[in-house]
Amino acid sequence: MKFRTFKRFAAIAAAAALMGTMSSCGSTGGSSSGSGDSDVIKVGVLFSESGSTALVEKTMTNACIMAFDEINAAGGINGKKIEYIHEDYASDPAKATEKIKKLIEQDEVVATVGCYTSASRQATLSTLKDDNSLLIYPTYTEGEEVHPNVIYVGNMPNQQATDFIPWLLENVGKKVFLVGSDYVFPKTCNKQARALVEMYGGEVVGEEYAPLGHTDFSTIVNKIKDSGAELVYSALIGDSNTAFYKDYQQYGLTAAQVPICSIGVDESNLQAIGNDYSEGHYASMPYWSSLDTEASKAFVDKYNSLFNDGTVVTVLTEAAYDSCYLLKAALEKVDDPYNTDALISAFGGVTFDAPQGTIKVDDQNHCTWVYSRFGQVHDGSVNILYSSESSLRPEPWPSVLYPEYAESNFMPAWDDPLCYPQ
Amino acid sequence: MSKVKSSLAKLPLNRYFDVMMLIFLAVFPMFVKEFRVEMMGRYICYAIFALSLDLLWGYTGLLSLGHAVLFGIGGYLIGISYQIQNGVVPAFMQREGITEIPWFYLPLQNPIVAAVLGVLVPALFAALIGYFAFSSKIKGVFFTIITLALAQIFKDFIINVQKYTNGFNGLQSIKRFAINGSAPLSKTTYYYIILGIAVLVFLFCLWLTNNRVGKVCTSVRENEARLGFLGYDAGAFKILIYTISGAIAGLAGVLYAPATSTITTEDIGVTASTMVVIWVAVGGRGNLTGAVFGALLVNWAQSILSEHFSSVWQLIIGVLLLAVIYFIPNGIIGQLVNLQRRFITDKQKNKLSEEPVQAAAVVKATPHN
Repeated sequence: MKFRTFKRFAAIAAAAALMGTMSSCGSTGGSSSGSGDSDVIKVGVLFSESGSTALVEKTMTNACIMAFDEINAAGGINGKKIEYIHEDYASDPAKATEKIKKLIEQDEVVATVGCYTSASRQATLSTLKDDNSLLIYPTYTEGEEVHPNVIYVGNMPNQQATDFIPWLLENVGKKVFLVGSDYVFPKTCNKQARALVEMYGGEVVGEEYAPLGHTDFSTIVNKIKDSGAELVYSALIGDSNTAFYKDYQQYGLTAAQVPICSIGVDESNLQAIGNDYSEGHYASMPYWSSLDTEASKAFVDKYNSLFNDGTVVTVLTEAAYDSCYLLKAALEKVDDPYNTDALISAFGGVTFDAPQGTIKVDDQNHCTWVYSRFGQVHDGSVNILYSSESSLRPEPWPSVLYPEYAESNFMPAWDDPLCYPQ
Repeated sequence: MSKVKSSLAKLPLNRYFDVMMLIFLAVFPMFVKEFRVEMMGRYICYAIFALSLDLLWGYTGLLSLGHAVLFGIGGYLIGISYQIQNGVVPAFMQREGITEIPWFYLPLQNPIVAAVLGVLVPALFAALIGYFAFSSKIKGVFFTIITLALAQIFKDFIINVQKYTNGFNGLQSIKRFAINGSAPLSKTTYYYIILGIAVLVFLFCLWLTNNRVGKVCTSVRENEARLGFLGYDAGAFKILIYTISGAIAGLAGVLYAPATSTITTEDIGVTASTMVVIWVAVGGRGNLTGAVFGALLVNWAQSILSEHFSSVWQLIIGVLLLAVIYFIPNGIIGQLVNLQRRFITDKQKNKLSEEPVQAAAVVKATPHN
């Protein structure tokens, strides 16, 4: 009897708790904190804390917190502090749409740094356009999209491939096998890789795709073995890499004979793959945490001292950090941060002395000039063999495939429906 | 007068709740910002979706763990319509080398046709699945497992035919029923359209569950074998209710995609299907009100908690859901209805001591649902 009373009480308590959260929407929804407080500049930070991509996005959130705290400690922007509002979209594109609306319409942020997958970025595009707000997108991406309301800080495929592929053909081998996840990023990258391989006198001896999240690579590894390939150019992304590198060795291929040259792994993937399986393979990214410069070492040390949550510094961490500083540089150029059009044009040409080196947002196409760096994996970190002398031009529509756009900033005209999903 | 009063008093508590929710939803846009209106519009779509599951699970006892498939078909059909509006092949198709809009997409160019198909195709799909499942007497947990597999297969299918569906990235820029190049409906107008349709769907479900079909479905849940002895073809009724449920789920999807302007594979797989089961379980199944209330409540709770506790909100939601399901397995509304019933029965018991014969008849007539 007593337990029943308790049960009933607990039930009512639980129901009341749920209802309380529901009614609180009225108060948050009704109040408009707005831009009335002119001493702060509000910025959104939109990364997942939960769901399938949470682990990767956590490091990006951390980087933003670190960057904005640094900016505030150094006096803010024209005397105003940055107030960042973090929202979790739980790896769900529909939630990303909801959260970006909340950030723009309720919190009235001047811009948002965020999104990881292309799916989540694309889900926010129509809101960004309707509300005329700005997204700074740090992830490396496949290109073939430029949106007037997005600044792409992550690299375009050409910045990973144009220096990497000729070097591989010269130093590793001429017969290339292309693999990738069956997804738009790997396919677009490999289309470009194929053109580059053929341009520099190599030969593509095979091309295979595995479904996203695929974990059985025996068929693909056997095809690689039979093809006589001298190197594997891999655009596999995410967890598939772990399985691929393991199967690769288990089916008898070694890095010494046929190395995997990847544009889809970073330090966190290498950690998941394990040192035994990653040793000796190659990888290309604009930034590696092993980069031996003062700026880079200071960045990595500071990150590791601030965040002890199992995340490691990767190219994404660095790009998210850069995104915040590029935003700062653009904000410093405008009088009214809420004038989105002015802010977007202020981004044209802004530079930042990033951990990877000096990077710059392109004057015209909203993408960023970043470095090209690749090296060989040793003990789970990348031993950098090549760093470009300066940052490379971003080509959202790469000139090897679309020479017709080479004259127009490597993109169609802004009003062309091909620019972004309309 | 006193008769009206007494019949009102006998009305199940949840019907008052329905009216309260409707009033709340009707005035909601007047007090909040537009994006909250849009959010609530989406949650009303979820409520319609939850109603479709309640018909199947709450009334007929068939738990589907793949209901988001039907929702997704509706959403994707309307979504595709807005990719091919101006006759230009969308960029994601061009990348795969498609130079002309595929013939099977041409009818979808008209959003109205797409919306109608968005209801009919899921209904047909459900009828087909129902036919194979129920005519081969697949019951209970086995039906649930089949639907679970269905959800996973459907999601993989959509991802893998990325030529036509944009795969993992999903479809964007789905307009709020802009027709023939006209401007999309305003967010508030669209909200009231969704609300109006939700009311119609609710009334339809209420009518359905109170007439013969609904009663037979409830009997399927309670004792299918006995129903068979009485000469009813339980399988046919199950196919029928699954089809109707499919149509409503599809309708919810058709309304949902323009409300959020995007639909992706996250909206159609096992996770999405599990979510709708949770909404119905929290609200309480088998009384319609619970499904609607659960969908609205859980989604609001998620949004609000995630805004305030962006790193631990899922933990809080999880604990609250467990608490509700553990302590009140009938769901919130289900529990309220039960309490009211117990209260009435207690009253009648008291009466029983005074007028034994009359009261006994009343007790018998008390509805069990």
